[in-house]
Amino acid sequence: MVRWDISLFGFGGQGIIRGGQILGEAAVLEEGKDAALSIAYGPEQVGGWSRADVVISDEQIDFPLVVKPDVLIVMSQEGLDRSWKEGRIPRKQLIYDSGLVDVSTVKGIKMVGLPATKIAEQLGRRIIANIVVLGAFSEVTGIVKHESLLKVIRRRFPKAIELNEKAFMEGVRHARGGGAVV
Amino acid sequence: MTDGLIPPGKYFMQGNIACAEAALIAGCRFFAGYPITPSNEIAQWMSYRLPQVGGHFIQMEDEIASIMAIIGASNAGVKSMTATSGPGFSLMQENIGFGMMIETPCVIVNVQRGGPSTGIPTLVGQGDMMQARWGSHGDYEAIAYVPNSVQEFFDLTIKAFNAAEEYRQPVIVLADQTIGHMYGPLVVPPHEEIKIVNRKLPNVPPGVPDFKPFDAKYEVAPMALAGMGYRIHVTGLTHDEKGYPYYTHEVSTWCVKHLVSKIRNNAEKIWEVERFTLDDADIVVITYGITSRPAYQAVKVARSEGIKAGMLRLITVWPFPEEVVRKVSEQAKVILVPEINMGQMIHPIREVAECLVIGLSWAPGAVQTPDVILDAIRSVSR
Repeated sequence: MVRWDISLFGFGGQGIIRGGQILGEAAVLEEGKDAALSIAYGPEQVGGWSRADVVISDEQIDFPLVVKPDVLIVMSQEGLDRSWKEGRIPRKQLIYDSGLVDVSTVKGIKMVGLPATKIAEQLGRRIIANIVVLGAFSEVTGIVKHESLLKVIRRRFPKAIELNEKAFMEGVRHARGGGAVV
Repeated sequence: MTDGLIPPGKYFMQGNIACAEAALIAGCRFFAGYPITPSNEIAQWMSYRLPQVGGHFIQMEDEIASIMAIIGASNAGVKSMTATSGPGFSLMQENIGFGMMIETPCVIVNVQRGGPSTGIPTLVGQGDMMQARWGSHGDYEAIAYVPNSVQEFFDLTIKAFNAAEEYRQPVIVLADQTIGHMYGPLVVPPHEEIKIVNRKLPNVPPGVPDFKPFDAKYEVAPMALAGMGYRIHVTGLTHDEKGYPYYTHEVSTWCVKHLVSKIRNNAEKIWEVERFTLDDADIVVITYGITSRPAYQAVKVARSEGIKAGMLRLITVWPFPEEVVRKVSEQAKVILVPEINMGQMIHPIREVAECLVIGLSWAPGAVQTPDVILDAIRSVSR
């Protein structure tokens, strides 16, 4: 059985939970896998911490919660700090928004950083930073295929397909370069 | 959408939303509720969806009014539901008993959070297991289903409506915050393959003299609805077959025995359990709801270590599947009962078990990890 525990951590308004939904939906509907998404967030609507935990497996998932992620995606400094404080340090891979997260204290973990929010701003919509990150995640880990995620993204955002595809592929491109430190 | 219902197919959906869609498929066309975390998505989704299928949604002033509104709507012939969590469930207790007494089909979904009192609103708990059974005063027999996945939350919501219609009484779905908020795979079968039960209506025309809305010749009497023209009276007071208050021990004996017998006589039909590697198990974990999810993994790992572990999962906790538990206990050396409470379902288990029963109590706020249950299995296997 191949099981992946993935955690996306950022703040309310960044589309963290939406990112988790897209990831889970792509795994379940496009790749026939099992997935479970659980969400947690601080009391504030926007700006408080927000976390999406996604378990993806090619077999039926027994325990659906993430205790320690294999892959951690952080889009805020608090996301990184809280994860370390709570012992939710990734086993395999850290992906981070290099414009928002300082990883100078992190040692001994495979890391890929990309300025996802800056990239999204340059494309004209800050709120698609989560899509940029999903592109990077897919490229770096291969856990969910590009096309599976793109299918879900097209279905979910029919009015902004081109923009979202561009954001996704920008994430892929930056991750392919090992994560440009911009 | 066909008839405005969710089309058959595969989805990646939140548990609470799956519950709401299931209710619509079951025929629910009225929802009354009062907002409370972590059940809110059910009310929110129903408020959006019910008008699309010709139903009605009312946000009531509190949970006391919510349960009364659904009892009222059901007496007018509309399948009805409410959803809440611990504090709201407490407020509903008196009128759940009223629904039992006047034999009204309806569904109450309790997405459990940590208690007591306001407790820990956004985090998981299983502290309302006994309240679901004994929460209202007087004698009645509860029916309560406990889902352990998004799919099962969907399936059991439909079953809850069916049981409510079949036995003419309120039926409870005891979900929890983790299952309610979790997103997971959901398969909606072709609608014609889904079993839907509707209450029986009287087979005599309105106006026949001597009509008895609670006719004792039936185990579950056909239900005369308000507005059909029958002369009916319903009351929370102890009543006779005609529905009128009657204060004698004889009538009380009939009335109360009738309420409990219709469930006790059919308990084995209502019971649902899942058996997981139980055949030769001498260490049996008895679980329900979300607690079964870490237990599957714990039992699998224990098996890989050569420990004869198995799990019995209670899908219906009420009526309590006592015969099933007793049989399992005959071959077991130890029964472990992990719960997200300080020990509730361990009591009916102990009452029937013929082996040692050990509770693994766990405070609300988090689900046990598989390791917690595995450690317990390992320690009793030594």
